[in-house]
Amino acid sequence: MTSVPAAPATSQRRSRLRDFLTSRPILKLRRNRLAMVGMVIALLFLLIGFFAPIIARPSAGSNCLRDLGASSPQQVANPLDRVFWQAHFAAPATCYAIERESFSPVPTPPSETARFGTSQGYDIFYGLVWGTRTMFKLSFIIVGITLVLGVIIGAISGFYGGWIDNLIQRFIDVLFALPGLVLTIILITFLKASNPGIDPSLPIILAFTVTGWAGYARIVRGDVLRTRQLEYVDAARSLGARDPRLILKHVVPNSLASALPIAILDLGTVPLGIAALSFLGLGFPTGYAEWGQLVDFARAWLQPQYWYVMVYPAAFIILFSLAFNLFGDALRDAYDPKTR
Amino acid sequence: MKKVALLSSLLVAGALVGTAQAAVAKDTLVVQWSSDVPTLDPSATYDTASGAIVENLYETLVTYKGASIRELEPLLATKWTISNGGRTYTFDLRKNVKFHSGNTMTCADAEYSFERNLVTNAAESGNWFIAESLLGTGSNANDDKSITWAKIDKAVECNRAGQLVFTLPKVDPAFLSKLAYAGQSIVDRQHAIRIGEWKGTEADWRNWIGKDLQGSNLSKQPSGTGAYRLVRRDANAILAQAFDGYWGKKPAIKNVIIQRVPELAARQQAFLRGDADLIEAGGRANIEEQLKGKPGVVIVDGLPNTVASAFFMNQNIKDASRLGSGKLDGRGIPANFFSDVNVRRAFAYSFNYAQYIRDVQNGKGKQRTMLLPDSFPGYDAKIKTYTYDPKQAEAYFKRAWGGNVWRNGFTLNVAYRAGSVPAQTAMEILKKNIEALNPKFRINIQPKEWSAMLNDSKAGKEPMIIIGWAPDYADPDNFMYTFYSSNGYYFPRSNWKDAQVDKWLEQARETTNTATRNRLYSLVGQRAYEQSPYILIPAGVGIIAHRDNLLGVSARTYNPMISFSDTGTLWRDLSKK
Amino acid sequence: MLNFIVRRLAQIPLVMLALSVLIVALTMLLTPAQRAAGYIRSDQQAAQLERIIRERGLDQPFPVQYGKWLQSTLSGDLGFSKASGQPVLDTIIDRLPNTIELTLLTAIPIILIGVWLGTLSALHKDRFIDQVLRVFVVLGYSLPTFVLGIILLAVFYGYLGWLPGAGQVEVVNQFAIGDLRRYTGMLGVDALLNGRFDIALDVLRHLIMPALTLFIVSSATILKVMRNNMLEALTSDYVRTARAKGLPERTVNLKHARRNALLSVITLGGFLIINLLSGSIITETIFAYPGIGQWVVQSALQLDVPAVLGFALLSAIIVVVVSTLTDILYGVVDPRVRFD
Repeated sequence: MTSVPAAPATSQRRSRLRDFLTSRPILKLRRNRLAMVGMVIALLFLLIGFFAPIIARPSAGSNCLRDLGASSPQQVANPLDRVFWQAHFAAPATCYAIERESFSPVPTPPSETARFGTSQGYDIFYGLVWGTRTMFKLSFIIVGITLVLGVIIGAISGFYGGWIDNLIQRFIDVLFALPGLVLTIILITFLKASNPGIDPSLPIILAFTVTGWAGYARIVRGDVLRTRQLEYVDAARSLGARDPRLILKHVVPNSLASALPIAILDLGTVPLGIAALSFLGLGFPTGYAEWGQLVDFARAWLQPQYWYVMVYPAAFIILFSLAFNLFGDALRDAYDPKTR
Repeated sequence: MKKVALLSSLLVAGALVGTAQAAVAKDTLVVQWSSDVPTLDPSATYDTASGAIVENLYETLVTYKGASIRELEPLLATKWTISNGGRTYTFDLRKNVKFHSGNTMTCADAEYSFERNLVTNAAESGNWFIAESLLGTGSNANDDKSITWAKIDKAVECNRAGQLVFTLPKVDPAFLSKLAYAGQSIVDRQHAIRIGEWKGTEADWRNWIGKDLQGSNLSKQPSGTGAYRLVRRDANAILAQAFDGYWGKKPAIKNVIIQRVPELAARQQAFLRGDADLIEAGGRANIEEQLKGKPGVVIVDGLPNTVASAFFMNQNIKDASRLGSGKLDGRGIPANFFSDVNVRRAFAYSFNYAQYIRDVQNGKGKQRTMLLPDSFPGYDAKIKTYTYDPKQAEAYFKRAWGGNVWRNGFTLNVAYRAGSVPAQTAMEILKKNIEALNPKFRINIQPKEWSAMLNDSKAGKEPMIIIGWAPDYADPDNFMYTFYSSNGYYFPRSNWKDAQVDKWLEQARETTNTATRNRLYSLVGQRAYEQSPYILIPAGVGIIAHRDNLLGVSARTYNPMISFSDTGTLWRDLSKK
Repeated sequence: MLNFIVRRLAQIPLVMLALSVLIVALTMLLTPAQRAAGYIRSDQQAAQLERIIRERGLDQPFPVQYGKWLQSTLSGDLGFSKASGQPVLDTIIDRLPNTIELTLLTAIPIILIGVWLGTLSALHKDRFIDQVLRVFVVLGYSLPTFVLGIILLAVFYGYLGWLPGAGQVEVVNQFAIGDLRRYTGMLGVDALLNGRFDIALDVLRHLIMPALTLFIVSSATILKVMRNNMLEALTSDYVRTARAKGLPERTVNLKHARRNALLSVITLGGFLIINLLSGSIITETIFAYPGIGQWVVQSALQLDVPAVLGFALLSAIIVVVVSTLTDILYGVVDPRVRFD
């Protein structure tokens, strides 16, 4: 038993993948054509976000190129160049500053240099493409943290019950007593005011984490309460499994089934929440690549001749949201025990 | 049955979206602003939104003559005399003036108004400068124990002839213009006491020291002598009506409505459709691109601007974390980086004034010679100005710090007030030009919340900031002392000290002779050009848009000291056809 | 039952206390000078920053400051809101009825139409009407409030000019409002009670776009839940039994299936009211509607601490009362629920 043959392992994995793909929820999902369209669009957005440096290439002489140590914009698109890798995996902060064509607030229509036109002097195309990147980055971080926090706290709450459960649930009650948006706004303004010069993403991440984990915790707790009574958990306990091990190995994986589809849906809703905040003038500084402020800029230029300042950002946001909702909803339905 | 329901709901919908709209009536002025109005109590008024309403409900002793900011004329006073070497002012008050409550104005009301300002003198209010004139300190009795009731009582008194007498501790050339400020309006003493304000006597004066009056009872129920009286005020509108008992000419416009509409697009549409006569239009670019040339819209351009803004170059930066490496090694700056005049001049030559005027001010801007509005007395147009000149900038950078700046480069961290687009743009322009001079020059720009910015800049922690000053009263001292004196309010932000300049500015405070003062201010301006402690940001040219049926708005009548900057006049001077 | 209500309502002061401690604690993140900045508006006033700190005791430790706030709150003084230029209590009294009016006008159609269309959609599963409604649901889900609001504003106000774009009544009626006798504080309702149908109609015209925005975004949720529940109920055993007994199709659908499906809609209705309150934050901002949401955004942005605290207290009351009401209603509809 010292060496395990490799072949069976891969075949086993492959069959597990096949099992997964042919499991009932996934089959149901695969049959839903709209959901598949949604998934494809969502993946496209993901690709746009990842390949932002190529799609909206920083122009020559920009601070982004300077900080990348590149001498020409072509280097960004060349996979053999170090710059390519740095731009895609560790882009310096200056690349997230929307390129500015002019300092005049008057919009200019789509042209060679700014494909979607400019708004407040900023290149709309660059802002939307790099904004996708910002949004995904934050979205993954926030959903990741909230999911982990929510699962852990929810599992503890449900598994132990008693006063711990009570304390956690009452705390969640207090959090829920304030509309999430208001709590987020308060947290961000206070965090930003107390830490001037802080990276703008940090207050956003913290605020969304504070308001986001409780939702998962409630779901997971409910699930844990249900699975706790299942026989195999009892069996494991009678075999001497310790509490943390028990939670991790048996209770949590089962509860994840209901939390994960929601997490995927949240990957789509968190960016919209962030965009709504910057629409209200909170969150990112002017000129940072993200979506909400591009809509905010459009507020002052609603006349038909400036259609592009409104239409492109709105279309981008709606399409993104639509894609995630089509896919996420179907996913949730597929895993919803009620409709199974 | 279903069909009937459907039909009737369609009918209702039709009635609801009907486009027929009543245009604004001839006797009604509709104004839309984005911001709210903090207070209607003159004593607490220290912002233009409040001032714009208060100056129409209340009146001051003196006011600016027409569009002039140099000449004052009597308003609630009829004449005044100055005696005792410029330290006693005696005012004759207008007779038969009625408050909105019906009470007749007497000298007791005027005395009460000023004493109330001196007693309360809340930190948020603008009463510090009247206290400076009358008590010799900007503080109230809580902060400065030398202020007694007797001192306040003596500073402003009514004599037997019913005249109002001010006694100043020392000469103040700006005293009269301070009296023209809306915050120094005469309030209705009897009415105020009746609704629970300070009783006007020594008995309860201690309870009122430092009291914030923004939400006072008087703010809720104002009673002034102004041509308009408050009808109602709710979350999103202020309604005023012409006051029948007004002592002066009956105003042509009977109703005034100030609406709060935060959305710019909504304001623009209301204006273009004639639903609003005046709006906060969002700046020159928006007016020129979206309102100019549209039917029913009149543009008034070329209006004076009384704000002075500048880049502050802090010569003694007191926060190590903002300095990078703290050395001239390309990765930071030393704390006294800007103490070398060559650095300051190089920066002043690096700012593209013309581009700023073109892009930010839509081509309408003016480079001033000093940090004083060009319409103010004491402004000297003959002093030289800096221009954008990369060659000169390079030459001065090469000379700075023994050549180390040019050889090693620097990284400078600058901040602007979050949300201030003009400040951000100005910094981006400066950054672009300076970084183009030498690849070793780097400027990082970051936004900071106002709350943090205020204190960090005041504590001298910010290497470079942009701030402006708007006049409290039309006297050059209000600007010159603030910016250029080492005892001035802005000194901790720039840490620029010049003994000669300090002396000139003190001298200008001690005389009322206009010619002497003008000469002294010219000297300060000239010295400031040579030393370049600030980069002067071009001043925008004022522009307003109004509906064509509104009469009485023109560049000739526009007074920049009037808080109602929508027309630069009082409401009573407007009419509609 | 009474016992249950009393016990639930007893939570209000506790939640209020917890929320206020939380918020005051958050303000302690700021330095006294930063807190003082919440009381001023101009650079000029900043000259007096130290005086403001001293006069308001902003440099005192947390327990002292909290104690001071608590004391004045208990004596009925919630402080002065810089954002509204009014005492906090007056602001709430002025603005809350407006938000309630908007919420009522939106919530009632949302629930009625949502339930009706949801039923329709389920009964005609996979037929044309169902397909159309499902598209509507996904769109409604996917349109972020701020994008939808701006689009409506641009189209119906900016482009077509059919509807007023901002505020609560036309200018001509601003003066007339002062003569109305206020019974409820809700302008439209009061106008009706005073027999001023012209004003009521005017108010209604101003409410259409904000209400429509909220309606489109929120009705999708109810519709979807109703459809799913209805589908589930239609396949349940007792509906099949009822059908087998030969009861008319209509009776079965409405009496048996719908009744059951409504249960979870009630719970959702409670959530809906709370969601509408936070949805109104953005909607009120876009349409300049003088409600409570517009005010809270401004207050948070300006670090207007008394206002934020006042709103938190109000929010605690609303959330607890609404959720208690929801539970009671649930019990009325479903006799299986016992309040103990």
